[in-house]
This record gives sequence, C-alpha cells and structure tokens, in this order.
Amino acid sequence: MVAVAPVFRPNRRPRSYYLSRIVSLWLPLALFLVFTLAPFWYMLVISLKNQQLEVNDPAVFPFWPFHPNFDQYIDLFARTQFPRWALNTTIIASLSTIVSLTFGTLAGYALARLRFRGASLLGIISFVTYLVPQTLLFIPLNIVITRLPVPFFLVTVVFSTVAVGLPLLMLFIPPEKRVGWGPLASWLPGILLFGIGVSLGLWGLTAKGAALNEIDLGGATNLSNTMWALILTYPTFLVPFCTWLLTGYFQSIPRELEESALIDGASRMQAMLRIVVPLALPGILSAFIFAFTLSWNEYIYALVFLTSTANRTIPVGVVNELIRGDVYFWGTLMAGALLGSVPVAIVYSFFVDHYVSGLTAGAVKG
Amino acid sequence: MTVRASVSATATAAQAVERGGGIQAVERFLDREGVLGYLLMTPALLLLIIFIAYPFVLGVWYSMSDVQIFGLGKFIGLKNYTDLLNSPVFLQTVKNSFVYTGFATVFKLGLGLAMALVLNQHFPLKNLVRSSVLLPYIVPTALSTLAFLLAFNPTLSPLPWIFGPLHIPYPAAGFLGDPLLAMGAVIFVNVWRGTPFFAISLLAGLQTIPQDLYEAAAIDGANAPNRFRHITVPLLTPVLTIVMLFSIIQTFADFQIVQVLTRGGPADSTHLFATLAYQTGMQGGRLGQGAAVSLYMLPFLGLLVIAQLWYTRRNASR
Repeated sequence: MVAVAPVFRPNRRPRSYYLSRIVSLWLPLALFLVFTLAPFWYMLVISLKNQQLEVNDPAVFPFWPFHPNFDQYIDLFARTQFPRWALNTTIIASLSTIVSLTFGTLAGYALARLRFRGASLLGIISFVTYLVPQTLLFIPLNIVITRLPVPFFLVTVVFSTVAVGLPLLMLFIPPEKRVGWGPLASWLPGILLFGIGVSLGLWGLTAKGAALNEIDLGGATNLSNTMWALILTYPTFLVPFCTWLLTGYFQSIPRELEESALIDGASRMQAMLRIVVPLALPGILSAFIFAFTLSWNEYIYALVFLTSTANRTIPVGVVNELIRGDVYFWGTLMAGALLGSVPVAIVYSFFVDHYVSGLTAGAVKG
Repeated sequence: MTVRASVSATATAAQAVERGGGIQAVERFLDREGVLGYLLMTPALLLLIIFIAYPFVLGVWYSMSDVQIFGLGKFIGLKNYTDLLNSPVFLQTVKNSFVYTGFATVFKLGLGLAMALVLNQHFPLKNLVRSSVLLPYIVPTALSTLAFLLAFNPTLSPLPWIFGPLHIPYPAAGFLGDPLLAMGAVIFVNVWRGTPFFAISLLAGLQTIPQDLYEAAAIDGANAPNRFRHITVPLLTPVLTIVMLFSIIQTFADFQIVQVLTRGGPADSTHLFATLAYQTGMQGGRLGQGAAVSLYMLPFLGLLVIAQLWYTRRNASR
C-alpha cells in the first residue's frame, strides 16, 4: 500500500457543506426521530395528565402535561390486577426463555458440529418453523391445550428439565469425581422420564380419546388457562430461532479448540459445555434477549390460551381488561402500556449490540 | 483425521480397560456423533412435534369438520373452504390482507432504506440515536398500538392540533370510522412499527460494504447518485431481499395492530386472515371454519418460506 498523501483541509468549511449537511442529515434525522418516538412521548404525557381537566377536553393542548400527577399509576396498582399480570408475564417469559435457550443450545450444537443422518434436513426444519407465524396454528394449538391431559405435559416438562439440566450440572463436578459414570449418569434419569412421559402421553391420548369432543374448560385436567400453556408453547417459536442463531454462532468457533479436549479424553458433552458454550456466550446472550422480548410481547397465544382476568399477561391484560365498555380510562391505559414496555426497553438498552447482532444475523450473514 | 481418530480411540480404549465395566461401553456409545446428535435434538424435536406438527395435522383435520366449541364434529370434506370462497367477508379479508401487506411493505422498505442511509452518517450521539429508533420494534406492539387508538379517536384525538395549522380537516368519525381511512391507519401503525427493523437491518448491510469501493468510484469520477446505484444497491440487494421476505411473512400474518385498533371493522374493511380466524373460531365458536381461515394463509406463506429458504441457502453457498 502506498501511503495516502495528506488531504488539505481548509479551516472553515464552505457554506454549502453546512447546507447539505442539514438537508441530508439533520432534517431527515429529526423527522425520523419524531416519527418513531412521538407515540412514546404522547403515551407518557397522557399517563401524567389530569384526566378530567385535560385528557377528556380536546381544547387543551395535548402534547404537554400541565397538571402532572401519578394518580393513573397509583390506580393501575391499586385498582387493577396489573401487579399480578406483571408477575405472570415475568414468570412465563423467564421460564420459556430458559427452556428455549437450553433446547436451542443443545440442538444448535448438534447441527453445527455433529455429523448424523438427517442433520441438514433438521436444520431446514428449524429454519422453516422459525418462519411459521403464530397466527397460523393458534386454533388447533388451543385444542391441543384444552384437550390433552396435564400429566403428559408435566412429565414432558420434568423430563426436559432433567435431561437438559443434569448435563449442565456436570459442569460443577470435576471429572475425576465421577469416574465410571460420566454422561450416562446424567442422561439416564432423563431417558427414563422421557419413556414415562411418552407412555403417559399415549395413555392420556387413548383414555381421553373417547371424550375428545367434551372440552373441560373449568377443570384442572388440562393446560387451558394455566401458565404452562404459554411456557410450553412459546418455545415453539423461540427454540427454532435460538437453534438457528446458535448453529451459526457455534460454526464460527474453531473446531480445533474442542478437538484437543476430545483427544485428551473429554466426552463431547464436556467439550461442548466447558469449551464451546463459554466461547459462544455472546451468541447465547443475543438469543436470550430475543427470546425474552418475544415472549414478553407475545399477544395472540396469551389472548387465546389464558381466559381468566387474574391469569392475563401484561399486553393482553392492559388491552383487554382495562378497556371495558364505553368509558375509556386513557390515563390508566397509557400508564399500563408504558410500564408494560419498560422491562423490555431496559433489557434492550443494556444489550443493544447483542440484540442488533441477533436481529441482523440472518440478513447480513445470509 | 484418521490419525486423530485412532489416537482418541486408543485413548478411550485404554481408559475403558483401565476402568473396566459395561458403563464405559454405553458411555462411548452415547458419545458417538450419530447417537449424541439425535439425543441433543430430542428435546427440541419433541417440542416441535407436540406443539407444531401435531396441531398442524389436527388443524387440517378440524378444517374439514364442523366441530364447534361444544359438541361432536363430523367430517364434511372441503365444505369449510368452499363456504369461505362464497363468503363476502372472507373475500374482503383476502383483498385486505394483500392491500395491507403490499402498501405496508413498500412504505417500510422506502422509509427503512432512507432511515438507514441517514443513520449511516457520522453525527454526535450516533449510537444512542441508532438504538432508540428501534424502540417501536422492541416494545409490545399491542401496547404501543394503544397510543394510536387514542390518536385516531373521533373526539379526543390530538391530531387536529397538527392538522389544523396545515388546513387539513380531521375526519369527524375519526380515522377508524371510515373503511378507507381505517385501512390507512392500520397500515400506518404497521409501517411505524416495522420501519426501524428495516432501517437497522439495512444499516448493518450498509456497514459491510467496503468503504474503499466508494473511494475508488469517486476517484474514477462517479457522482453520489451513481455510486448509490452501482455500489450500494447491488451490494445491499441480498440483505434487502431477506429482510423483505421476512417482513412480508410477518405482515401477512399480522394480528395485534388490527385487533387492537379496529377488530376488523368498520364493515370488515380491515379484517386480516388472523383477525377473521380469531373472530370465527374463538369468538364465534366455529373452530373448523376458523382453522380453515388460518390455513388459507398457507399457500402464500409457503411460497414465501420456500423463497426465503432458497435465497438464504443460495447466498450462504456463494
């Protein structure tokens, strides 16, 4: 490379520079910022206004709170079930995120590193299911949830937790202390529970088969109107995404690192958990943020599968329970909408770069 | 490869002999790629079989039966599908979905590209601005749509304060009372929500274009519009295509914005497949027909997914 000759820079830039900078940068930037952020400002203002004097009077300038107060926020906590919805949403989003991350990490590693029959087909399946929108299957999925018995699901959950959790626990046991058992010890309970789960599920199908058309909406024999309905169904769109994102991430980690561990006698699981997963933490973090925000924001499954007021998540609770009849309590509504958005905004603000790299992974890497 | 394999095989064999026992054999069996691969896939696959594949089969079956919330369903063939084709509401919904998707995508693409080009410049607080424009895409759509529900209200809307000085009359019935305006309103909210996604993805695409290409072109005498046409556009096309296909899928199957703003009204003028399916299947209790409405999305969605898959793989292999 030839050294670039220093460019002569005059001390004062010509007037046309500032003009073009205004036209090509500042003006459009201001417009775009107003376009994207004005609705949030508006929500904040409405939530702070005095409802009788300001919101319900179209003659008052709408974009500034002249009598700011927190009455709407107090109402939200004292008179509505908002705190309960917040708790529900937190539990559902956290658990479905954990399930999706563990399943996605395992599947992603398998697809990225292991050679087995059908691996590429499974990769395609995970990509295609990631693209399937929730609105395509919500009606039959609701039937699955209202008509399949609880034991089947609970055992599936327990199985998954054990099968996935125990190998993870092995991280904390030094290899010399579990000589002779290794991966088998961790997988055995999982495999057993898997067997029990499948057989119980099959039993449930046949036992319930005769009564398949009598939906028991009130009883506790199925998942309808329980948090499990969402904790188990959110991973259907989160796991494919995590798998697909992490497959790409695992592939970018050099094979040599784990191969040397394999030569030293480590099992695949040990190599994966101790070498590959720690290196893939940034990718796992992206997947985590994505999964968490997607499950926090989900609307249609939460609307359909949870039916009682107390069991709502924030998006459904605020939209469907705070709008009742003809009188709209706009201030409370906006307060709920803002508070419901704050957790995802906070998570996002801490990990912007990870979120953006997850968002653009598909598009840019191809 | 063979050397390494034989070395590790010798090592494991030596260990097995050292420790003895059949457990070692099982351990080694589980550690084989062909076995471990399936084991690691099992949790994910099980989940997808129970909650995607099974509901899908069930959905197809239900769409061919007259099952309702209560009572026994019986097989009625394609009656649900043919009934829908004779229903004016459904035909309106098909039209709405394509209008909604078409207009929203064009606007999101145009505005998103413009936003990306603006954000790609250097200015103070660049990172803060870049991350805050993505907020509409991050927060729960159902909740942010509430701001628009009030903004499009007939009496309480703040828009007359903006329209007044520009001498634009604010519609007496609000934006959601008139079929055409309501469609415009739901498209607007979708564009508001989706533009940042386009912008940030395209911005990431722009940043992968090597700067020296522009410098070389500038030295060769290409002006800014020409540099945009001959460097930016061709190099951005792969990103653009993937982002657009993804967005079309999401927009076509959209639910929240319409459900919160209009519930398909006025006079079914904003119904999309998903909102009609919800109304028919959940609120109307006609599960079979609701499932059929949803499944009518499948041909178009299928085409998009295949296109996306084909395009992504072609790009990856290049």
